[in-house]
Amino acid sequence: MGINRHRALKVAKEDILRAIVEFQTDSIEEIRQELETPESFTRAIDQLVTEGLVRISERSVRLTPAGEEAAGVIVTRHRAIEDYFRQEVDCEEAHRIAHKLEHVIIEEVVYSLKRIRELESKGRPLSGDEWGEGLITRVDIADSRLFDRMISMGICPGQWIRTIKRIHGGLIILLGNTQLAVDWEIASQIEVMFP
Amino acid sequence: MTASQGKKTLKVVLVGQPNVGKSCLLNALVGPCVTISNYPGTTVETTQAKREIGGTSFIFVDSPGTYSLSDRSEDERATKHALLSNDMDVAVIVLDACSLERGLYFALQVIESGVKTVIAMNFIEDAIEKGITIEYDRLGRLLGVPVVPFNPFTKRGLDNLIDEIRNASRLQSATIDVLYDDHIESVISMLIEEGLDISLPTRFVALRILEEDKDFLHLVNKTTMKRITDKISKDCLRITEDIARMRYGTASFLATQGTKIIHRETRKKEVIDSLRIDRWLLHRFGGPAFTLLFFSALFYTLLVVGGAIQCLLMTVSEDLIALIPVDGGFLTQMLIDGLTGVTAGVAMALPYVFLFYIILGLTEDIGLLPRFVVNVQRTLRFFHIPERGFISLMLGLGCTVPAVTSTRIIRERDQRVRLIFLYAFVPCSSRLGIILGVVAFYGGDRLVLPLFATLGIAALFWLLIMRILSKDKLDPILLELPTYRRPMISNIAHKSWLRMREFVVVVIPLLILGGVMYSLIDQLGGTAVLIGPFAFVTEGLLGLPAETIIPILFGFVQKDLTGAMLVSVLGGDVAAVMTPLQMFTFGVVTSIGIPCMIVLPAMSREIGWKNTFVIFVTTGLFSLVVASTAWRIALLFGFT
Repeated sequence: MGINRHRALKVAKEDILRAIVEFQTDSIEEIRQELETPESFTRAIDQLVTEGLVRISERSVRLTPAGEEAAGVIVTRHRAIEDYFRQEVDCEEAHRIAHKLEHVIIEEVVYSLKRIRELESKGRPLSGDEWGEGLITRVDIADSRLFDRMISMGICPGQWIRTIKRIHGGLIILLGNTQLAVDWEIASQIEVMFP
Repeated sequence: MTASQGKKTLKVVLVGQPNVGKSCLLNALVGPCVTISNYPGTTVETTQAKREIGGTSFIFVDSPGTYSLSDRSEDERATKHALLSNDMDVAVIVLDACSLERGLYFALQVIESGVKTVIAMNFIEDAIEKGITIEYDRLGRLLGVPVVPFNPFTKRGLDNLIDEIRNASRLQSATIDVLYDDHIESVISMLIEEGLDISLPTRFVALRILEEDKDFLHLVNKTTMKRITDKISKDCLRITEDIARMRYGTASFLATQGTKIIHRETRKKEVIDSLRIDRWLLHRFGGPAFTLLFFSALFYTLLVVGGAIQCLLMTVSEDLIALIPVDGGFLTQMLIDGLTGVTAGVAMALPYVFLFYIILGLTEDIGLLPRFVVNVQRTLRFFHIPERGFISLMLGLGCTVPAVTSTRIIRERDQRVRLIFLYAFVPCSSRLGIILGVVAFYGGDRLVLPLFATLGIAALFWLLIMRILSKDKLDPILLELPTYRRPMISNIAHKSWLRMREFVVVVIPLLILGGVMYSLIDQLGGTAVLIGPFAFVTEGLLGLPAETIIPILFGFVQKDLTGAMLVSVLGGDVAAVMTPLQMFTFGVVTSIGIPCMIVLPAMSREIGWKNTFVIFVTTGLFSLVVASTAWRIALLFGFT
């Protein structure tokens, strides 16, 4: 409820900022056509002006220096998400996903996505040879219910994990404040990058 | 969902991930009625409790902990069914403030189901200590449901929680749409367009179908399913994984938005302490050694301390019975027999049951049980027994009935059947009473070790057979280890009482009834009818006095009757009638197999009557074979 009310306006504002940079246009009409939620357009423009992010003159809209900075963040965010999803789907789809996710995702996640994209190839399955704290880069389990169980316990790409000690047939790991015992079958499916 | 308007009773289900304090909250709301322990999987079935608060009557339903709605075992299924049943008015999701992300993952699934929801946040003080302040209002606004902090021990926040539950029951249920990527959304839309015929929100049902939830798959016909799978394979989606990933992403986002990190996150002190202790308790060699030592110490304590209490109780009760004037009358004799039965039964069982539950309570509260599981998992898996079954086996040292129910945490039915087979060799406290309170008491302490060794060898034989016969694959190990906690005396006392209540309410009346019935049958000359036909078993197969068939048969009605009846049948001084070898054989035959009748319905409910029948017959016959063989071997070596 709450989240939905705020979302439309936030989406419209961010779309406007991105459209100005990406399409290199200042025509209000062209930007309106690009919008995902055109009904929020006028209110979004008004708010952007109040926040000092854009200036309006006649039928055109321009970014202020603060606006340029904000738009830069959104464009970077969009590209990071697009880049991440391009591993799995084609470019057009990745763009569509990024277009949706850019509005709900926070900076830390974008940062993690970028890092994960960079680091994914560097992760290695947990084997008990490396100790300390590492970043989970990939969880690869064929059984979907087991995957869901692992995610719901916090074993999710982008999370920090600490290997504690070996036990017979597996090892003890720590995720945040959760201590888990896993056997090698599970451990070998968790890819981790140790700094 | 049901409209609660105009309805006086509110039905509220408490749900959440394991070990977040659901049962604690229930006890705080209505007074002690369920057991609380420091390990995931304490609660395996739903428990209801009623209470009138401020003019509204509430029915609170405690549910087994579950990590997500994708249930993997019987206990988790119970939670899902309780949550999604139509007669539930409000769901209270209990979250651990220190593990907010994973808790919110589960919360999002529940909110998606359209159930009216209130979030209750536990362990808030711990979170503050960690430097995390949760902005309850902000988090509540983002989720669209109220978030209430509480502390079950100080009762802080409980009034507020009750108010919010009342409010939530009057309002429309909240909706939060976790935004999935376009592919997933388009498949969701395809399913929604099919018009799924169910009272739950169609978006939620579509998600459950895509997450391969067996309870919902029947709602789509084969053609639609084919279209969906075609679309999924065309888009190369690993859809169940993608849904989980994006839901976790949203949970993570909400957790960050709803909290303020005051200082850099540090690990809880308890976690650091736990890790330090685990260096020793989970040591590759030290761990199993500690586990073995613990159980040896447990049995030794029961033998020594339990024996001393039994001795005291027996002396007092004999003195009391001696005060009754013997006039040879029928009723007086029945009174004396009834009293002898009950006092002997209580004296033989109570010290061991009581002591065991206190020690079990301590072990549970400290958080030792999951550590034992880690230490014995290799051995159990060698015999194809799932490691989580160890906790159930340990509960079996108390009473077999709740232990059988606790096997619900095991996913595969075959594995549950194999585990339940093992209860034939795990002495419940009543059987411990026979071993320690009858065999050791009358035959000497030196019999205890050979008796346990015989049980162990018999169990090992059985385990090897099961290992050869079982072909299925065990689930990989993924076990949460809770941090160690300081045991709370009040909790242990409550818990032991809840468990002991069975003994007082069921066993003591049965002991009285058994004593009186025996007296009646004996005085009418009925015992001879029973003793004669079974002499080939008692005297022939086992070398026992023929009368011992009475305690063996009565013991099957209620195990605690075994010792009491033995005393009744043989007269007060058992040691004068039976040799130590006979005591030993008697101990073996009464300690293996299904302990007593009341286990049968519980077993049949869990694994079906056919399996129950097979277990009952095979282990029963096996007990005779083991006892008979042990007797003959002992004779060969010249024991008497």
